[in-house]
Amino acid sequence: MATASPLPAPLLRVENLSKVFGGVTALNGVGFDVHPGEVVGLIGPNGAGKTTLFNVISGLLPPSGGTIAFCGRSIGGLRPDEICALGAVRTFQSASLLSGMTVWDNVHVASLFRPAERARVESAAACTRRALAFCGLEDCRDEIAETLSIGDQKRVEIARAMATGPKLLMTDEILAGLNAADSEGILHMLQGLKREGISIIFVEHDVRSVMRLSDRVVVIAQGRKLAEGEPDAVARMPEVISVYLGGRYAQGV
Amino acid sequence: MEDVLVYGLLRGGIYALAAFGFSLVLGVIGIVNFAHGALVVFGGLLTQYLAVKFGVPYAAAMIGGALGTGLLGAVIQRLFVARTFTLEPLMVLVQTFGIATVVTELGTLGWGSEERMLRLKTGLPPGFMLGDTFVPSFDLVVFAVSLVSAAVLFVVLGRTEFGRAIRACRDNRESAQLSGINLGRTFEKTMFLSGTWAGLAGAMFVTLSPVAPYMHFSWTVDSFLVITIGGLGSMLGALVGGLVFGVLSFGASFYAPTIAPAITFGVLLVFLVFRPQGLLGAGPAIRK
Amino acid sequence: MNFVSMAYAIRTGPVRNQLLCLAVFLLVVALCPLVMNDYWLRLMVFVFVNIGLASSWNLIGGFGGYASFGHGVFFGVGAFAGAVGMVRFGLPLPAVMVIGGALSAALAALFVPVFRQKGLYFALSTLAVMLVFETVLQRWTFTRGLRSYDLGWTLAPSLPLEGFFYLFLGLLGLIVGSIIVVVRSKIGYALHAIRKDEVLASSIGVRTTKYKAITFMISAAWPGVLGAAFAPFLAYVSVQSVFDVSITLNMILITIFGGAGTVIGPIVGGIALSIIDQIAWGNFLEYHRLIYGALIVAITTLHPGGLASVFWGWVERRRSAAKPVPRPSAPGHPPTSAPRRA
Ligand SMILES: Nc1ncnc2c1ncn2[C@@H]1O[C@H](COP(=O)(O)OP(=O)(O)OP(=O)(O)O)[C@@H](O)[C@H]1O
Ligand SMILES: [Mg+2]
Repeated sequence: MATASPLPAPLLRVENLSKVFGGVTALNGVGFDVHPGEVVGLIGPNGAGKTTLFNVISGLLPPSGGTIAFCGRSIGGLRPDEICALGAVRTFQSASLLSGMTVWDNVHVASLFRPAERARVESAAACTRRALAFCGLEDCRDEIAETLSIGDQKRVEIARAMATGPKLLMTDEILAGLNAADSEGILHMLQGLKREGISIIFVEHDVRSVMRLSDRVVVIAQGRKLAEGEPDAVARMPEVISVYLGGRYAQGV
Repeated sequence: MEDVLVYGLLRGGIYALAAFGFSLVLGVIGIVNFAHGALVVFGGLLTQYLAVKFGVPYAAAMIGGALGTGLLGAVIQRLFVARTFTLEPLMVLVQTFGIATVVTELGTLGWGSEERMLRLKTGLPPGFMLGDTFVPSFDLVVFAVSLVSAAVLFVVLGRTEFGRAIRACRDNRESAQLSGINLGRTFEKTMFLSGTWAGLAGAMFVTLSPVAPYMHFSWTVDSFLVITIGGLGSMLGALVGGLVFGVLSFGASFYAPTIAPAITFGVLLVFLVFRPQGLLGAGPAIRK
Repeated sequence: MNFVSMAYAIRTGPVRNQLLCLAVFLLVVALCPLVMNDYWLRLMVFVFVNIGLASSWNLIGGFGGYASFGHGVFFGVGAFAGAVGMVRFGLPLPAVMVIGGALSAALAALFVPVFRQKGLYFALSTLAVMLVFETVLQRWTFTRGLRSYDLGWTLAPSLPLEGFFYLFLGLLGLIVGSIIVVVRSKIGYALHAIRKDEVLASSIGVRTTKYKAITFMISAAWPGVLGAAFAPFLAYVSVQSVFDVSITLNMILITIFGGAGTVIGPIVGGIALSIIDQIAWGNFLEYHRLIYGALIVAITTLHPGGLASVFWGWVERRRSAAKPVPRPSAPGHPPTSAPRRA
């Protein structure tokens, strides 16, 4: 669908990106685009380099080579907070709530440190309230975040990411460890974000969810881009099936 | 110039020996052990005490001193650090600082605060000339022993089951635990190794220079300097760092004795700011 | 309202109430000169300075989680600013206090590159900076470190003892008050996030280096002011007396003992340790350092949260015995259980 209409300029353009740790090449010439309002599913086996890709895009690790452009501007070498201020925010694979802080405070931190031009439009408290309301967390705003159920903790992470006012949200295995109902809730929220025009890079091992949510899917394995295309097309590619999907998903479709 | 190089390298062997344990503990347990210098001094004084008071031959006294220090390290780990190290690392800094104070004060009460040295009669010739430089043969022997014991440590870490457990904990604590390694035990063993080699460094140093309880803090700081220069988490880094630091500190006190400490700490700052991973260390770790 | 719920209300309540509490405390202490002789007044001044220094350290070390092991350098620089300013340039006390604070803050700004280091490296980098400064001041003729015939500076006391008492009490009030305000401000949120998880904090937009630098400068400026004011009180200033490692260690010890990362911690710790110190000095002079070391080990091993965590743990138990509801926690007020690594 998205590929049929004439495309606007990409929001994020990753070109020939590589990252080397000592002897390990975690990323090797990866390139792809993300357009405004688009959901790109990113899949690959364990150790493929998905988290490393997020670490590099979000500025936590310097790239070893290649370029990253966000909103037409090169962001390689910027600090994480600068990249967040430009509008690219990520979640973490491991639990990342601020311990000992309430749900409100967890989200409020992000609202407080938005760049000045966004802070002028909406007060920090209003921004926090809106994010909590969007994620259905108003009722537990005064609870200590890490005492919530795992599903609600993930909601807090999304609310916090939302509070930064992102154009691009990168979720790293946000559904991992959730039951079916919670997964469904989170997927709904992500679809809501997409409707608001926020682009998403969706890293997930649960292939069905990826296929459902994504406009386009990028497959990486051992640091290289293996395939890219519309979900159904990717799911039928033999090399993807052999590396990652196994037979099961293809049969299920 | 050559003198500085030769004497610096000879001292550097002992610095490297002292720093191995510091680096190991920082890499495996993830703590900065402020009591490390106290262990070095304790090893030196224990060796001196065994040799002088009981007339134990030096080689045996050295081994006794080293093992005794290793034991002290393991006890510190089990009774104190094990209860605190999963909390904020800041707490362990303060805790081990307190332990250093207690060990030092007890040492002072038991052995007195004066500087002690162990002069050995080896029967060796006093030394020989290397170009224009006089090389004392005893220092050379100590240097050789340092290198040999470093090699022993490499073998222990690289080839034994014990070493494999320690390396597994260093590389990935969670998966080490999943594969059945007892973390608490391994940390105690790590502290034992660390203490043993610290004690060994002290035992050798006491034959070259006087040692006294109050010196513990400068040994801690020196060990830190060595691994900052050499690079955290690599034993080879500690060795190289020790030798470089030996030359650096000897050179500083030779050419500019009044501001020697300022020079060595200045170099430390340069490393911390511009090359925090040291000469041979891996990059800084980041969360998964 | 009983004591437990009152303590709780003050802790979680608005900043105004906390400042009010502080004011009441200061007023009560201000009555001390009516009943105390000179010996006790002098002792109280030392206690105020120690608490002030510890509270300043607590801002970066406790709230920010960045333990500075060279914080004594700021006190020393302040004291030298006071001594040199008053003796060589004849400046009045308020002027040297401002200069001491400004110099220390400026010096702290030089630490910014070191902030890229993680906690442990930071600790030792600050230690290294302090040793460099000690060496420089000791060798520099401008600071009379080098000439053996007039090592150090002798100052005329510029205030009567009561004057110093109120000066330092006032400074203590300012320091603690400023900390109460800071930890509840945007800076406090930033510090809390940085201490819990710095990588996360930067990924959600917190300019971590900026906020660490601001905090560190505040936390350095106060010891500078205290040092400058302390110079005429001490009457003799030399590198040995004001750059002693024990000054830094006291800041850390008092904070940890009372409870790092809480406003009340350094105050409680300062008072408790002064009492212990008096007893130890009086009765077991020889074992003085041993007792100090053993206390550090005991508190860090058994109660890493310090005395404050013992107290708040008790308050929490009393409250949850009364009614088991989840409770809010404000930034700067970490949970009273022992802190866990994020
Ligand atoms: N900080 C690091 N230092 C060294 N190697 C690293 C580091 N981070 C990642 N790697 C390596 O890079 C490779 C890619 O890891 P990454 O975490 O990006 O994989 P992933 O696709 O996210 O896997 P998973 O599905 O398990 O989350 C792995 O081989 C990993 O061991
Ligand atoms: Mg991953």
